Amino acid sequence: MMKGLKMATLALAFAGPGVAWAQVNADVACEPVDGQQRFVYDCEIMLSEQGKPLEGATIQVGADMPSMPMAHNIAPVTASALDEPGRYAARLKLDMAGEWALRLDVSGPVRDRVVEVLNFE
Amino acid sequence: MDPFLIAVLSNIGMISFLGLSAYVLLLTGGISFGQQAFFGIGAYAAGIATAIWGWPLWMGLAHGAAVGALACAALGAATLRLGGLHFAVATLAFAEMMRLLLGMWRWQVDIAGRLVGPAGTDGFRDIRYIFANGISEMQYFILIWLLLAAAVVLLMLFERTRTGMVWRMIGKDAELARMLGVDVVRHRIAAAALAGALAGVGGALYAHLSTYIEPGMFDPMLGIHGLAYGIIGGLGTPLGPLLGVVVDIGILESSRLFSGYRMIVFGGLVAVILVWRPRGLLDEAFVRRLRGWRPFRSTLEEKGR
Repeated sequence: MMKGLKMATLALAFAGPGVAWAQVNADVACEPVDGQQRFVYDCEIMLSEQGKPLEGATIQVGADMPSMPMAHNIAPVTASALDEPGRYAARLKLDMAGEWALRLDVSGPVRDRVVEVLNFE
Repeated sequence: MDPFLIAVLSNIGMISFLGLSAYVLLLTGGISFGQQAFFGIGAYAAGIATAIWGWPLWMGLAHGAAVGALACAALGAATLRLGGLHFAVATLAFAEMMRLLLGMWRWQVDIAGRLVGPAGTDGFRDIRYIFANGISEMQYFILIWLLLAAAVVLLMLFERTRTGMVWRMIGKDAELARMLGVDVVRHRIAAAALAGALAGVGGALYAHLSTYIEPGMFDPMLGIHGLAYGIIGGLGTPLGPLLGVVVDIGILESSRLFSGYRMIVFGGLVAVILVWRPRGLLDEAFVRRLRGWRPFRSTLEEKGR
């Protein structure tokens, strides 16, 4: 705990200016799952970095509603890798229809957070 | 620690700044439905500072707080003559105006081949300071709570000062305070500036953790929550709004007890508490009783000697 606290303080005090770097891009498409309860969706995620498919990444997919930031979000699920390089799948169970911001936390070869806003009917 | 727990606790910390912001205005008698505007202004100001200007995080946070303070002080000065319902409506109107303006504002800069900056209703992406600088979610969570703890402690100390007592006096009866020679105008503008700074810091922290902000996030729902946290938690201590946030996000939201019906439950809870304890769970009377409790009283008595 103390180590984390010291590191956070150091990061705040001495971190240099923000820099641009090769970051992850994502394309996300979600479809409702047939025969399931309402608001359950299968999402396919295509990840790329510098134009190339990003393989071997671990993706945690969370979601919250932009209309209620911080106050309405779902627990993240881990996406599974599909056969095609850079393609992943995750099943989401949302609370209600509307606009949701999907939060993709990428770790592994690179660490990044990508947010994609989608409208769920 | 579980990543979702860290995320929830970080959310509790960040939205607590909004609750504290509304609380500071409530102290001086101002009911604001518009603190989400300063949360949003702080988020945009800090995001621009780090993502476009390349400032370090601490300067981005300070920039968010300063711009939030300036904007809220300006609104406070413009609405000085208003009170009660008129002030509440004016703050709501200002917040909606800001949200619409942010929805029209496009200012993107090419940074290493990517357009970065506010893009109207498409939002402001790539506020990636913490990812670019290897700051983990855990470290950022600690930073959020350190800043929140500092804000709460400073507010508690401030409330014990003469100025803090004057602010409560203004909140109870501004006319009486004016008759006693208090410069109500100056104090209300100062309170507005402090409230704006608190909301601005919260927004600045949120922008960097989320990496993405959009004007739709700063709608009246967020402001009503911020106000409700003070009303639920109580106006007797700065810990009140934190209790309100814990009840809403920590218990109702995180437990998924009521799923999509949470907002209805939350609204009902606010209504019940307004009837049962009009000044919240930790109201002034409760805090006074707590201070009169033997361990506290004996400490105070010893200090008195």
